[in-house]
Amino acid sequence: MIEAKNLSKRYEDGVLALDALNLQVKSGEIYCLLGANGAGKTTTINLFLNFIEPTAGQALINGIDVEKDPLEAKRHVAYVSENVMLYGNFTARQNLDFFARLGGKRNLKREDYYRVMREVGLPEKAFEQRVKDFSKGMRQKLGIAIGMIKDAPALLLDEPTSGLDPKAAAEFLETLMELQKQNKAILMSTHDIFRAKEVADRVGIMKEGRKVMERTREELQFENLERLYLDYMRGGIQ
Amino acid sequence: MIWTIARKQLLNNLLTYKFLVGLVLCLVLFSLSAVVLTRDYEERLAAYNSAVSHHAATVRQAKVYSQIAVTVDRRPALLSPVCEGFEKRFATSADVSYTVIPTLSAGQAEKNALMVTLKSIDLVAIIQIVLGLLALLFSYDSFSGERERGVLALTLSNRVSRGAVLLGQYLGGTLTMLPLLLIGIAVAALIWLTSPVISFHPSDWLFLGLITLVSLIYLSALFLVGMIISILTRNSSTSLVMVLFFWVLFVILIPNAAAHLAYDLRPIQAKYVADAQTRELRRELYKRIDFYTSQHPRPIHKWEFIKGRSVYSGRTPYPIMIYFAPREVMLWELEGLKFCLQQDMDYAEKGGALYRDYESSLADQANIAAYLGKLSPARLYYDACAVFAGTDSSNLLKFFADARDYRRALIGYVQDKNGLLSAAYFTPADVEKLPTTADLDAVKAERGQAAVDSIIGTGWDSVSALDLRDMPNWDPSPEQAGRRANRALPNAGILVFLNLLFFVGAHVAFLRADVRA
Amino acid sequence: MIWIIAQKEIRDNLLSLRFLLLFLLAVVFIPASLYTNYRAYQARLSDQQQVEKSNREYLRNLQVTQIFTAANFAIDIYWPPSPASVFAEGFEDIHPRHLVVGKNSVEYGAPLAVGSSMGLFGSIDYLFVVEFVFSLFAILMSFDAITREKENGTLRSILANAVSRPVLATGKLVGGYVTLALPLVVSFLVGLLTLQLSGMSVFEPEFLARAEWVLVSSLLYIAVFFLLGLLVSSSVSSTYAALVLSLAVWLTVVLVLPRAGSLAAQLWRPVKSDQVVWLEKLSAANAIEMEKGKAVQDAGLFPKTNPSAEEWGKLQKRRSEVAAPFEDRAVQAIRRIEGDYRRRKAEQVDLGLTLARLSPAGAFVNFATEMSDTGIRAADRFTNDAEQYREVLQQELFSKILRYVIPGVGITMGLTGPINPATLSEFRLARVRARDSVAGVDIAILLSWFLAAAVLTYGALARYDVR
Repeated sequence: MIEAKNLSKRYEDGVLALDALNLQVKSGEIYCLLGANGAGKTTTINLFLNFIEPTAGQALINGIDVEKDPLEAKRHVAYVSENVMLYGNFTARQNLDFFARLGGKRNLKREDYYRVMREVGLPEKAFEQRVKDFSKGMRQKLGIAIGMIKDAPALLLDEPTSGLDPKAAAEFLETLMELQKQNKAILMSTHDIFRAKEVADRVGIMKEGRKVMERTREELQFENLERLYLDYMRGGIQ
Repeated sequence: MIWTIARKQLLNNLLTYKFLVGLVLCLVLFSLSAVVLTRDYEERLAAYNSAVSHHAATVRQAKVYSQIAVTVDRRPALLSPVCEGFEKRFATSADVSYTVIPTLSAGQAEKNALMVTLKSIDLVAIIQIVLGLLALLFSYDSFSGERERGVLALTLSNRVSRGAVLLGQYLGGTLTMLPLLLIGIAVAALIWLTSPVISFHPSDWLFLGLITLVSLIYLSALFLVGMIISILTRNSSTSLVMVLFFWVLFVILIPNAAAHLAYDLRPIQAKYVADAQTRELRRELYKRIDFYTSQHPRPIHKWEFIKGRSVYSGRTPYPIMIYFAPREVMLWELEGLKFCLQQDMDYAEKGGALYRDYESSLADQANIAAYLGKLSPARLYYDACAVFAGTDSSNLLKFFADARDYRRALIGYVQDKNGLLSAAYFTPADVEKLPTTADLDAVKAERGQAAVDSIIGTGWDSVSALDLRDMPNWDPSPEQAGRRANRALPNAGILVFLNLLFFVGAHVAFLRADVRA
Repeated sequence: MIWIIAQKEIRDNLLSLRFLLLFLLAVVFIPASLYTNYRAYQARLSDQQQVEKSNREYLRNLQVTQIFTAANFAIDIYWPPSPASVFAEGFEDIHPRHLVVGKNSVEYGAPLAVGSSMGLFGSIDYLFVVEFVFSLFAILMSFDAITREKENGTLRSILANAVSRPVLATGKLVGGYVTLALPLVVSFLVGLLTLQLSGMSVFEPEFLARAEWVLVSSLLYIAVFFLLGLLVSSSVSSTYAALVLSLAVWLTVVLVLPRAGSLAAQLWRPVKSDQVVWLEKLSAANAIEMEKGKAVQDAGLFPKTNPSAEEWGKLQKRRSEVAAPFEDRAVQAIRRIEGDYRRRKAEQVDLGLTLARLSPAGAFVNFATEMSDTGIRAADRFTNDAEQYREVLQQELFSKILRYVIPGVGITMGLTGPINPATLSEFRLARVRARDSVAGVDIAILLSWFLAAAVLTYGALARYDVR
């Protein structure tokens, strides 16, 4: 379970990047965080990963306060970042192996890695190929595989479909829903309204550091998410 | 179009950290070098001046020709703070006398503890190593960096040929190096000129200008190498590593390895072996002198009739100075002189031949090292500058050759004055007119001591110095500027050729390169 | 966890271009330099043995008549090269190989070969390769260790796991250093093998001990630079800035600091030049010679008539009695001037050395040259032993040769007693054991740099912005 309680971040130069965020992602739930660049989506994720410290409030992963016990909290969350270059000189499997070990999974076999890579849709011949030759889509898939192999109860994804072609994005969504079935709490920041509508159980819109709107899947059936989003961006509805 | 690109590159460079750090580094190093080496030059010049006047004074006091022994001094090269070359490795003076032939000897090296890093921080060394590194650092990402950022493809989507892009990048880059070089040299020159003893003649300015020019050619060559590497590698971190590898290999390792290799290819005996062989020769000389002495026994010496005597050894007839002695003693010394001095000079020639062999083997070795070093543009550059500064090995060897010539001129002069193998060598007295011991005994018996004393005379103090106004002066003609510039031509020429070669190579590589990220 | 990261580092580095280039450079230049220096050592050894042989013969066959050059009589002694000099050649300037022991002083003789290396850096020996090339590559391996991962995004990926910053730092340190040390150790061993195959007895305990120490200090030295690069990488956010800063650090620590040290010493404690001192000694000696000559003359010991053989003997004896106090004074005066000069020079040298050794490059060079028996202390030992030899010769030889400058009369020379050349002592240089050559201070300095850099690195990485 991923939870933010009044989570705030003000930088030294006075900029308020996050203003009292309240958010809950239960197990088995996919929560999509939408917003313009600089709205605070990435800041939120950085706070959950203890890359920065909050100036107020708490970030909790499975009840563990990330600021107070970061190392323990990180055991329970997997991270898929945007545009990861990974280790170019290593093969896909070697990258996977390294991050699996870091995540605490020390005794996996080659077959286990292959299985996960198949699940995310990587072609067989890429398994032992050097990552520096990968296309962007393949790298993204590998990034997801890395997130999966940790088998953590929470998953944080930062713009996972940016730069992917529609087919790859669709494949990614299928993988995501598989993970949802495994009862993971999934928090995803994205620009992709279309996919968000398809896959999210709940959607939140961030603007200038504040979460200005939240809708469930049911509520969205009756509203046009794109319109809502643009209206909020243009500063209309409160 | 070329100029647009060049200007872009120039501005881009000037705004970077690299340039700022490079500028600061240059200012610090150039001024440090100038300050230290100026003081050092001042000291050496002062030592030279005092040595010259000391030596001149000594010669003027000669009362007989045996006292003519000259030490000639080498004036420190004015441009040695710019390029030290061999300046400190060779002695600054050479002894010239009848029996001493000046040969190559090593200088009193700086006894500076822990000269562990640069042996010299002359200007040219700083340019060769530090500015060379900077040139490479400015060029290593001139293509690979632009390619990565997508800017290269963007540029080439306009109406501009690849050759133009290449030229523009090159110009922009070298124009960035130019202020660093010029500011550095200007700062150094300023510091030199504040020294009271340093004054530049027109020819010195000319050579400084030539050194600056060659420096630019050298830096341009390195810049081109960086460009080629940048074109050929896929990303800028690879270019960086390759460029640094090149710098280490060609600027630092190869010039030194060449010297080592030369030592292997043309090993030479240590100088002290030549010294030992010379000692053998001297032993032979002594044996001969001893033999002569045994054949020509010493007449009885009555000390009361001998005044102002200085000889090599009491038992052998090899005089240095004798003010007065009875005729038979003087004749014995004179005949002995003719034999011993001649022998001594002959053996000196033989010894000299040994040392000249040693000298030429050294020169051979240095030449081999220089040839092997031509693999490295850094070595080519330094050698050319050493020639311009007048501190290359052949210029310094010339000092010893000149000293040897001077010795011959001196000997010829003394011979003309009939002062060499004659009485004038060691005494002012007219030997033929001298009384014998018997004569003096008689005078003493008849007329007393006072009469004897008046015959003998008052001693060396009453003898005036020789008139040596027409003695040849030590005045080695300095090398003509034109000839010196010519000697540096081969190295400079190769550097220019390398520039052309690298540019063509870069062009060829770029024409076929993939400009996409 | 540390091991997982370290393992990844090692694997990543082994596959990189820079590792390959470093390995090539090392495995070519280190054995090559050891081999060349070994050949030079052999050549020097045989030259020196040859010369000493002729020296001995010369002393044995010394004819008393040849002492007409005795006023300038001097004996050449040579420093016998040590096998460990294959590591660091040392410098002719500070380590005289050839001293000339004369009546008045011990002076530097002509150095080996002039111009055999017109190197800006001196010659390439093992010390040079490690001091410059390896230190540069050490920084090159580590300067982007953090910034590259940050720019790639992998830093975040790692820290999204239960990996603390100190653990990350340690993993990077261990992994990176292992790949750096590997080429050094391998080429060192290859070098030793080359030496063994060329005929050197590498396993001789003294040599082996010194070799071990050299290797240990080299490993410590490059560790310092690796850490400095890592420190820079943990302090800036772009690889570009890290590069500029690292190179500046390298230039400063390796090229500028040691030089600045000796420079500062020269400014702080200036010393008269050799020229001036030589002139001082000369004028002091001449003044006393004049007084001595006058005293002998005043004592009427220059006969006007030819003395008989036994009278001549008595005369000599009396002459030496009169001359003795003057001789003593002359020796004292010269010793005082020399001692004064040497003391000041030593102070300056020591200060310069101390300042230079504050930098890891200076400390390392000092340690390595001491270990190779070509350093400052070795030079001092040689000079001191030469001084002692001069004292011995003063007794056996110089004191028996008397030279008088008699004003108005001339120069004359004589012997006060028989000299038996065959019994003249020869010069012997004592050898030092390896463990006595260990300059512990330098190791301490290197360790301090290492620890300081480590502490700063861990601190910097703890504050590092990984986004």
